[in-house]
Amino acid sequence: MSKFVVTLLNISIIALVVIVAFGISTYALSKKMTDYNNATGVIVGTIDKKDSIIIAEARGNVSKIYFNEGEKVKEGDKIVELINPELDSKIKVLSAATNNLSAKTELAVASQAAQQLEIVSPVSGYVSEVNYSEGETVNPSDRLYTIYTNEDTRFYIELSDQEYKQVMNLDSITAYSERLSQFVELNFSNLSPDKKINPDDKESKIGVFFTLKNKDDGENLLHNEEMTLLLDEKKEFTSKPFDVINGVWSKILSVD
Amino acid sequence: MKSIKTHYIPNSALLFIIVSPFTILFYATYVFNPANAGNLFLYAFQLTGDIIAISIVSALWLTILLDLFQPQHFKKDYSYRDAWVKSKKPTVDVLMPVANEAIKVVEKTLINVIAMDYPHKTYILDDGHSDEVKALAEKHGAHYISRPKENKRHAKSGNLNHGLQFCKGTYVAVFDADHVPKKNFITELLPFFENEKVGLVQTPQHFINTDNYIASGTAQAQDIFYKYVQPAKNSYNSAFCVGTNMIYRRSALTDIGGVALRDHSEDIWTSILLHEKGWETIFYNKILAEGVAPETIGSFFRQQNRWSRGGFSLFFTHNPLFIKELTLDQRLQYFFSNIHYFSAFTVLIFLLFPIIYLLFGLHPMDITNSNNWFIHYIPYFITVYFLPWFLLGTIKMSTISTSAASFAPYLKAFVSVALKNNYKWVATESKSKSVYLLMSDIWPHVLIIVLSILAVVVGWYNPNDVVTTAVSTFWVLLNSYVLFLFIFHGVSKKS
Repeated sequence: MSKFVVTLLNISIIALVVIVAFGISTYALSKKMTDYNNATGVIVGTIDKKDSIIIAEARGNVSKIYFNEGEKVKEGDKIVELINPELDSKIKVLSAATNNLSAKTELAVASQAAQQLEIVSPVSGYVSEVNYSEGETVNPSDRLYTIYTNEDTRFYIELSDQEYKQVMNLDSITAYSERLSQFVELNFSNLSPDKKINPDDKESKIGVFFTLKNKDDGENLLHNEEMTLLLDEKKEFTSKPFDVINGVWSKILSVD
Repeated sequence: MKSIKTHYIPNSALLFIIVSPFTILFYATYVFNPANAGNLFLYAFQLTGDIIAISIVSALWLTILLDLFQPQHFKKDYSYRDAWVKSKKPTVDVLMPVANEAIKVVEKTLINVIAMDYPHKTYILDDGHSDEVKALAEKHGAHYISRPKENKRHAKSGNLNHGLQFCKGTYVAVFDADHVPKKNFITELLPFFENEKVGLVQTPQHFINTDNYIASGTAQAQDIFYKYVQPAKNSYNSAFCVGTNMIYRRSALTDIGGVALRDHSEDIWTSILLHEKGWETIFYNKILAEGVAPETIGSFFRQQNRWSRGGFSLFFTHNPLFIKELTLDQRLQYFFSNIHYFSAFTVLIFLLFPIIYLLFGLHPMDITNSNNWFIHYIPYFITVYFLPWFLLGTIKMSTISTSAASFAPYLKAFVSVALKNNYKWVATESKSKSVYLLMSDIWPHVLIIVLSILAVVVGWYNPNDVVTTAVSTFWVLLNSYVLFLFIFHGVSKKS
C-alpha cells in the first residue's frame, strides 16, 4: 500500500466515523423533539377530599332532613332533626315534679339527650350521602350523613419521570376544571414524590399530591372529580435552551 | 544476607488500604440495590462494569494487604551468598531474541550485553534473517543463530527454544532487543540460584523514555505492577516471568520441556509450567536493565493487545484458578493478574454512559433524587480513579490517558480470543515498514470524541434535569479530553 492509499483510507475511516456519530445524534435529537411535541401538555388527575361521617348519638325518629345529596353545608348548619316521643313525655312529667331532687337530675339528663336530637354539621363541605329519610328510626352510632369537607382538599396525579421533571421545572402549577371552567393553582404538598407505582412496570409512574394554593377553590370541587394539569409553559421551555441556563443562574444568584 | 524486597510502602498506600473497603462497600450498597435501578438494560451494564472494577481493585487491595502482613514469608531462609558463585563458577548464556527491531537499538543492547562483568556467552537469535544483524554479531563477537525460514513457528518462544539447542550453560539470561542490562546484572542475580529449587529470577522492566507521553503513561502503570504486585506475588512464590531481564535455570527449563511454545505471552505460560512442576521463582526488585516503552499508538496497541491476549487466553483455556498443581496462593495470584484485562469492559461502559444520558436521557440508576447517587459515588470514585496517586504518590495525565485508551486493544484481543483467531507476531518496536493504518486502531476513540461533542449539543436542547445534564457534560468533556490527549500525543509523535 502506498502512502497515498493509506492517507485516503485514514480519511475515509474518519469520515465514516463522523457520519455515524452524526447519524446517531441526529436520531437522538429528532426523537427528543418528537417526544416533546407529542407530549399532550395536559395530564389528568383527580381531586381527593377527606370525608367526615356524621353519626347519630341518640335514639329517635328522623323528623327533618335539611340537606340532600350534593348540597353544600357550612360548619354549624343544622342538618338532621330527630324526635323521641318517649323522651318528650318524660321531660313533661319530670318538669312537673320540680321539688324532687332525683327528678331534677333525671330531667337534666333527659334534656341533654333531647339536645342530641338536633344534629349540627361539624365541618364545611358538601353532602355525599344521606342514609336515612324522614320518618325512619335511628339508633345511636348509626351513620346519618357523609360529608366531604373543604379542609385538606388535595389533587392527586400520576406522572412519568419525564413529566415529573417537567412539572418540577414549572414556576407555577395550574390545573383546570372543565366542569367549573375554572383554573386552580396548586402547590407541591411535599417535594419528594411518593414511591413509584408498579416498580416492575416498564413505564412506572410517580404519584404526587398537590395542595391548593387558594383554599376557597376547594369549595366547588367534588371528590374524585377529574382535573387536567397544565404544562402550559411548554412553549417557553422548548424553543429557548438558553433560558434554562439563565434560569439556573438566576436561581443560584437569587436575582428575583 | 540480602533482602529480596527493596521497597517500602508509603503512607498514602496505607491510606488506600484502610479507606478503600469503606468507600467500596458504601458504593456497593447503593449500586447493588435493585431499588435504585433506573433503566434496567443500562443497569445490567452498570452492574457488569462495577463488578469488574471492584474485583480488580479488591484483588489489588488484597494482594498488597496480604503482603503487608506476611512479606516474603516463604523465603525466610533464603540466603544470598556471593561466595557460592565464586566457588561454583556456574556458566551463563545470554540469549537476545531479535525480530526486525531497528539496528541501532539492537547494537546498543548487544554492546551492553557483552559488557556485563560476569563471564558469559552471548547468542543473538535473529528471526528477521537480517544480514545487518549478522554483521553486527560478528563485529562484536556474539554467536549468531537464525532459524530456517520454513521452520518459523511460535514466534519468540520458538526462537528461544531453537537457540537453546545451541547453548550448554547452566543458566540462561534473556534480554529483548530494547532492554539494556547493567554491568552487574548477572553478578547480582546469580547468587539466588544457590537454592536448588529456584528456577527463575526476574527483575523489573524499567522504562527510561518517560519524556514521551505514551511511554510515560505505560511506565507509570507498570510501576504499580513492579512496586506492589510483583513483590507481593514474590511472597507467595508466584512472581512470574515478564519475558525479558531474567535468568532461567537451564535444568528447570529442560524439566518443563523448554520455554512454553506459544504465539504470544510465552513468559507467563512458562512461569506457570515452572510453578506446576514445583519450581520456585524470585522477583528481585532492583532495576538492573533499562528498556524503552512503546512511543507510538501503533506499537503501544500492539504491545497491549499481545499482553491482553495472553491474559484472556489463559483465562479461557487454562484458567489458573483450576490448576491443581499450583498452591491456592499461586492460583489466586495468577487469577488476579488475569482479570486485569477485563477492565476494558468497565472503561468502555463508563465512557458510553454519560453520552447515552445526554443523547437519550436514559440513566442506569434512579436519579430522581440525584444527591443519593453523588454521596455514594464520589468517595468510591476518588479511591479508584486516583489509585496511582495513592500507590505511587503521583498521578500523571498520561497514565489516565493511556489506561483509558487501552480498552480498544484489550477488547480486540478479547474478541479474537473468543473467535480463536490465530495470532501473528509483530515485535512491539518493529522496524518493518509495512504501512500502518492508524485509524484502524483509533476509530473507537475518535467515534467517542465526536459523539461526545454532539451529545453535549443534544443534551442541552431543553434538558429535563439540569444537574444531571451538567454532570454528564463534565464527564463527557473530561473523557474526550483524556482520549484526545492520547491521540494527539500519539499522532504528533508518529510524524
